[in-house]
Parts: sequence; C-alpha cells; structure tokens
Amino acid sequence: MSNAGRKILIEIKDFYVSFGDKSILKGINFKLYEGECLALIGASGVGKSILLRSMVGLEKPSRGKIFIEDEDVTHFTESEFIKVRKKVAYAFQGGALFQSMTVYDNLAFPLRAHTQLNESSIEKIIKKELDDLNLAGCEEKYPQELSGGMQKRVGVARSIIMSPKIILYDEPTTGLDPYNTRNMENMILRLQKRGATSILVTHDMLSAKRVCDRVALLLDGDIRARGAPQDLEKSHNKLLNHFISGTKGGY
Amino acid sequence: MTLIHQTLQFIFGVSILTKNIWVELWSKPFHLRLTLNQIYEIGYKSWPIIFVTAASTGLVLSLQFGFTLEKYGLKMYTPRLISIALFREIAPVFTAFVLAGRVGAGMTAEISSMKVTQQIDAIRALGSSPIKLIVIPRVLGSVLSIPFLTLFSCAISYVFSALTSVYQLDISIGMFTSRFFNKVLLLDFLSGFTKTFVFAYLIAISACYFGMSASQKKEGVGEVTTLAVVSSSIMIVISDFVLTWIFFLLWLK
Ligand SMILES: Nc1ncnc2c1ncn2[C@@H]1O[C@H](COP(=O)(O)OP(=O)(O)OP(=O)(O)O)[C@@H](O)[C@H]1O
Ligand SMILES: [Mg+2]
Repeated sequence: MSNAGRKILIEIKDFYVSFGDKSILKGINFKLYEGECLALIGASGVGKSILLRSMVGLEKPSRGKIFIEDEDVTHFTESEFIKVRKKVAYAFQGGALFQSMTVYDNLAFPLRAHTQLNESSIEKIIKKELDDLNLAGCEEKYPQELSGGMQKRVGVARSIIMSPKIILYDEPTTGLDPYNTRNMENMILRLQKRGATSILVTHDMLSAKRVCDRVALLLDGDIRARGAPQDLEKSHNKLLNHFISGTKGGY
Repeated sequence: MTLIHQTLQFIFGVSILTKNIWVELWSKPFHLRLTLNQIYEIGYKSWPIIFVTAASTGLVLSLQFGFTLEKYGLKMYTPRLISIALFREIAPVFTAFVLAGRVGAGMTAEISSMKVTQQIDAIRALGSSPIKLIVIPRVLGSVLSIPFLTLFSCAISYVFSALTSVYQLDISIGMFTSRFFNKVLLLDFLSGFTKTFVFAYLIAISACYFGMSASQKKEGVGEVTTLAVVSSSIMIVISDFVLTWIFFLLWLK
C-alpha cells in the first residue's frame, strides 16, 4: 500500500525533546498517514514512549512543530489539547490504571466524562470490551489484584473504549503470553479494519509483520529507516538488520 | 543558590497552579462529589487529632497563664488572656500546623504516587483535567473544612481551659466564661478565623504543587512529601506574621 495521495494525520517536524542536558529526540521528522498501522521499533530508552507521549501533549518539545490533521498543536494549552486527546488515544506502556478504582470504573471513566450514555449502555460497552481482551469477570477487581499483563490489557481497553480515530499503542504485547498476544493483535487488526490509524511500539518483529503495514526504526533521536516490513528486510537496510539481529550497530 | 532557585520555582509554580484553579473553577463539569469526599477526608477524619491538640492546649494555657498571673495577683485576667491568645493565634496556627502534617503529607503522598505511576498523565490522556479532578476538590475541601476544624479546636480548648481554671485556679465557671467571652471577642475571633482560610489554602496548594511535581527520575514520593510539609509550615508562619501585622494596622490596635 503506497502512501501517495493519502492524508497525513500526524506530522512532526524538526522536533526536539530533552531532559536537562540529555536530548532524547533530536530533530525528528515523522508522518503518520491515514489508515496505516505503523510499527515503531527501536532500542529500549531510545525515546519511543516520549515520541508517542508528545503526540498527545504529555511531553513538550524544546523545539519543533507538531501537526494533528493539519492543525498546529505545538503550543496548545492543556484545555485545547482535550479535543486532540479525544481523537488520538495513547495506551500507556504500564497501563496507568487508576489504582483507587475498579476495572469497571477505570473503563467507565472516559465514557462518563465524555458521553451522555446511561449506566446500562456503559455496562454493555465495557462487557464487550473486556470479552474482546479475554478479561471477562475482572469488572469488580482493583488494578493491584491483576497481573501486569492483565493491567496492560485493561489499559489498552480503556484507551480505545471511545473508538478514537488514531491509537498509539505503547508496547501492548510486551510481557503477554502467545495466546493473549494473538488476541491483542487481532483486536488491533479489527480496529484497523474499522478505520483506525495506529502506531504500535513493539520489540517483536513478528508481531510487527503480522499487524502493521509499515515499520519505522527510531535510533539516536530520529527515524532512521521506514517502509513496508518485507521491503525493509529485502533491502538489507543495515541499521534495521543490526537492530533485528541484535548486533551492536542497531544500538 | 539552589535554595533560592527552588524557592523561586515554587512561587512561580504555585502562582501558575492558582491561576489554573481560578480558570477551571468556573467551568463545567463540577465534581461536587469529589469535593464532598475531601471535606469528609480532611474535615471529619481530622477531628480526633484536633481534639487532642486543642484539649492539651487549653489545659496548658490555663496552667501557664493562671499560675504566672496568680503570682502578681492578676489571676482574674487569665480567661481574657487565654481567649486572646487562643482566638487570635494559637487555635488557627496550631490547627494549621497539625493539619499541614496530617492532611498535607497525606495529600502529597497520594498525589505524588498517582503522578509517578502515570495516573495523572492518564487523566490528561483521557481528555480530563487533573486540576478539576484532583486539585480543585482538595483545595476546596481544605478551605471549606479547616476553618471549621479551627472553630472546633477553639471550643475544645475553651472547655479544657475552663475545667482547669475551675479545678486548679479556683475561678468559677461563670466568672471564667463571662471574662473569656468578653465583648472584644468578635474582633479577636474574626482576625484568627480569616487567617485559617489562608492557611487552609496554603496547605492544599503546596500539597498539590509538590504532589504534581514528583517524578520517577528526580524527586520521589518521600522527598516531595517532606518538601510539601516543610514549605506549607514555613508559609503558614510567614503569612501569619504578615496577616497579624495587617490586622493590627487595621483594627486590633
Ligand atoms: N521525566 C524524565 N526525566 C528525565 N529523563 C527521562 C524522563 N522520561 C524519560 N526520560 C529518558 O528518556 C529516554 C527515553 O525514554 P522512553 O521511555 O521514551 O524510552 P523507550 O524508547 O520507550 O524505552 P522502552 O522500550 O524501554 O520503553 C530514556 O533514556 C529515559 O531515561
Ligand atoms: Mg517505552
């Protein structure tokens, strides 16, 4: 699938994020096209989470611009970002569930905040979502009572429950068993079919190939390789091959 | 140098937070239930500690003033002196200090652990406002309940100082009460009561500010909790001085 003529949903231009004197993103340029599912790969600590968090305004750049559907959101205030965050969902790497709320209330949180749905429709939506992610029966549990992988799945469920247009998954399958990994991948594919555009951070190339139509490699503060998974592998892109095979050049 | 830097940063941060509270206070949605929860947490749950503090304060004041004044034959001034000290200074400031510990530390620990586990970010990412959900209920909860805790503290101190006077100083309860609730009392009371709103705000705002500023990388939960209690205590002392000065210039002279 070529990107020519497709609409750009997220565009990042010459973007810098640093903490103190440590720069993480160094002039990164990045485009996310409508309908694509992009696998974002890169070494641990390279700034993948920072890049996703920047797209929903959780990190502020020291320089550069970010556009969501052609709108410059770089200098948006918190309240202006609210409308961006209704379009672009971020599924936290660790789940980031509200510890003082049950799984049910965690999932109900966005629905209660942004819709007029009554409690019985909310319940129906939540039930369906939990079934989809193999979590049925967890409604009344608190996050502390769940395993790490379960928390992660509840976190993903919470971020997609409003059917956002763009979904940023931060390592949704890391630490899951093969069955639940497949389950998660299938769910991502289903949402993709329904018209979502997504970025999937993953360390698992197989997973990336199964779900995504594009791969981007983040290395040393910028995107160093980008393309369809098969093409990149065939092209013998040195950085990518190093990264996949785990030899030093990728890091 | 770093201390000056940190202080400036704190003042700046608190001002921004105050501005944001002010802006978001008036727009929907209003989370009334969260504020009521906080009033329960801060106000109701603090009564035992306030009771103990106020009771011993009342006792001690009676004994200290009573026995000292007795030496000079001025025992009968004891109730009036206690009421001035209590209403103008001791009840508001003691209550604030005790609550800076109990409420301020609890609040900061709670918010900062939400911050480091990314729950605050999650609120933002889900399109809601942590100012509305976390900060405003706590600030309102403090400002609405701490003045009443101070009032409660005055009442308890009165009871215990009266009892001590009756049993230790031979001042009758009628005499004590009429001299305690002298006609000037309203002014004493108002000057103290006004302060409590300021103290309540300072306790909540520093808890929220430091709670929100916690991070996994730099300052953790323990550290920000200490900072919050220390700064609110310092601000209570400083604002007490400033407000007392203003009140004296205005009415108390
Ligand atoms: N608040 C912060 N303060 C200072 N440094 C930070 C902060 N947040 C992230 N970093 C640093 O930024 C770098 C990138 O972090 P990030 O979480 O984006 O990595 P990542 O690529 O998602 O890694 P992983 O695959 O392990 O999740 C790390 O080196 C981290 O130490
Ligand atoms: Mg990460």
